[in-house]
Amino acid sequence: MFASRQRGTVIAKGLKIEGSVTAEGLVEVNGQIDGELRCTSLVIARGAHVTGTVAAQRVVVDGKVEGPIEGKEVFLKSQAYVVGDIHHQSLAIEKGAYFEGRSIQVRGANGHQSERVGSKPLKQVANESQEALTPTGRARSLSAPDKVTT
Amino acid sequence: MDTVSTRTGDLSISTIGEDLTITGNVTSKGELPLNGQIRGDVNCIALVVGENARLEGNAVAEDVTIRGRLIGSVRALRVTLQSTSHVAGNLISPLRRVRILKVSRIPGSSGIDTAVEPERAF
Repeated sequence: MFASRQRGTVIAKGLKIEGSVTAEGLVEVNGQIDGELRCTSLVIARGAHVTGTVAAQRVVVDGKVEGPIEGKEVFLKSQAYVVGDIHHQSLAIEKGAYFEGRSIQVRGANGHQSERVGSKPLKQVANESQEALTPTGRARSLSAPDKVTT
Repeated sequence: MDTVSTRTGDLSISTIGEDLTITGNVTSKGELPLNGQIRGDVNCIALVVGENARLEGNAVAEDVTIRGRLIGSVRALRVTLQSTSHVAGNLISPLRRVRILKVSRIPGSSGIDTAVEPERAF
């Protein structure tokens, strides 16, 4: 049923981790993680809930994340609910995604030189407008109707 | 990489890969096949500690099968230690259903010490 050389990790629905998770490869989260999550490639699936820092080369979010996301490629799918800053080299937000936080584009190999682009206010809601924005950050334009890749 | 965004796993069964380390407690309402490392307590229905896996903490489950390394206590209705297992800790099984297959290292207070295999490099 399970190969002894199992690589990649699936955190199933109903599984809860309180603590930090570190992996070299792919992690797919369907359950709940309260803590830091670091891996190479990360999928936070619909219905999943992560509270804490999320760091991966490639991050696909279709669930709920409360905490900062540090990624190279970040993709928020339509059911994504993200409250926290997103550090990225490229960010894509699908229509329907909720994002409350700063979008910080990081350029350069060392990933430390940051550049803020655009002049939109901090809080971006792709499907509906919500007020009570925190006016401390900038997000790249999300005005395209369907999907925006920066 | 493109498969990542479309991948959908079986939602009911978790798999903890060999490359994964968890520091903290894990609670699952289902099976938990562990191939990586957990430093913390595990509470689930069925726990399988794989041959290359390591659990440092206490496990509470209905069924526990250990092929790898466990440092901590196990409380389960049924416990199976397979020949590749290395266990340091207590085995608590109220039904006294503990199966030990061939040689396992059990220096805990289960009262059994069948350390025959040398410690393997981990």
